[in-house]
Amino acid sequence: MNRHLNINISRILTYGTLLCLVLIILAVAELIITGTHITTYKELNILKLLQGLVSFNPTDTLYIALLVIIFTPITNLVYIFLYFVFSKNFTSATFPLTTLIILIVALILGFAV
Amino acid sequence: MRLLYSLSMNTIIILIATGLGVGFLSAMLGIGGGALIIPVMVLVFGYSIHTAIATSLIVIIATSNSAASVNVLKNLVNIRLGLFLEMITAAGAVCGGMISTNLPEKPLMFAFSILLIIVAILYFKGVKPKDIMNIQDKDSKGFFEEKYFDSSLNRYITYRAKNIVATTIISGFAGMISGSLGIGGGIFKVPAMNAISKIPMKISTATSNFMIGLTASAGALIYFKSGYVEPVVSGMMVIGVIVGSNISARFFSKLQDSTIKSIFLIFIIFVAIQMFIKAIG
Repeated sequence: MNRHLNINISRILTYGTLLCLVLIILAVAELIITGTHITTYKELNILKLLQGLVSFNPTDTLYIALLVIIFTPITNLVYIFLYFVFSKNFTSATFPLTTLIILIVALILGFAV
Repeated sequence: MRLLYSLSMNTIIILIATGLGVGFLSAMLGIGGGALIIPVMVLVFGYSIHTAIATSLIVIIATSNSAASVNVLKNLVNIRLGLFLEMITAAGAVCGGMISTNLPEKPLMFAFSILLIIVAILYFKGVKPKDIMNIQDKDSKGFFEEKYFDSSLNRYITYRAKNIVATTIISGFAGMISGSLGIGGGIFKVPAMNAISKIPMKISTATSNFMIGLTASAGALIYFKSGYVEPVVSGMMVIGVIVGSNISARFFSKLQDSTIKSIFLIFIIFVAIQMFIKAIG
């Protein structure tokens, strides 16, 4: 396996994890400074969460941190697919592509695979 | 002292400590850790099963990200094999999710617990880590060839996946079990990769760890969308898990395959007992 691919996969995972950690710490700091409470949302709107993040809302910051950790492996999968496509290794490219399609189908059907 | 939401400082410390322990063990064994987190959250903290599952899925992703970031750099993850098996597992999980509504859960859990005990016995009596190294050294046939440096043996090891058809079928089955019973497939995939495909234990667990983050992400998004995620609980556990799995991944390459296999066997028996109690309860 190409060393370059391994290094970049590791970087995506490390940066995703670190960003999530920083956001969690930021949410706790915002909470202590503003003295507000963290609430649980029953419905989620990503745009509102992003607006809350820039206006230092601790609940929104914490939700964004969790979204970052969830999207990190998906970003990795997209990167691996693109890597194989650009290196013309189409057989290997079918593995991440098929997995991505199955995950999207599972999301649409509402199954937690 | 009440710090976050309605959680006391003690609860926050327990959540971080639980995450630390679960992250350490899950990263070492290549499992999700749902079997460890869900009972703790439901029985100790009194959260609903949906919140426990949502937290467990987020924790699985955090474990996978944190451990895989170290394992990939050490070439302990067979990326192409992992993605190939993941494709089959995810397809199996969707099928399992579709058929689970028509299946009685308790008899299925009972059968599953018995099956796990059989897997544990066969795995215990089966191929030894030393034999796997000998097979890999002598036999050059197989798929998804890779090389890694084994710190415990102090040498490079080249390995190939043998009997890939059988491992693929078991991965599909693991996906179906995962989709219908809501448990991770790592418990079947790791023994299949190790005992059937003759892949060294470290590679089997590290590859499984890399895979589980991908599958858990779709599930986590579904629970996220449905509003089952408790942000404080998940956030605190994620902190513990990231630290625990990172320590485990750094320590893991120095462990002997036989030690990892023994801990894995104990875990299989633990899950089997848990399933058996649920089935008769």
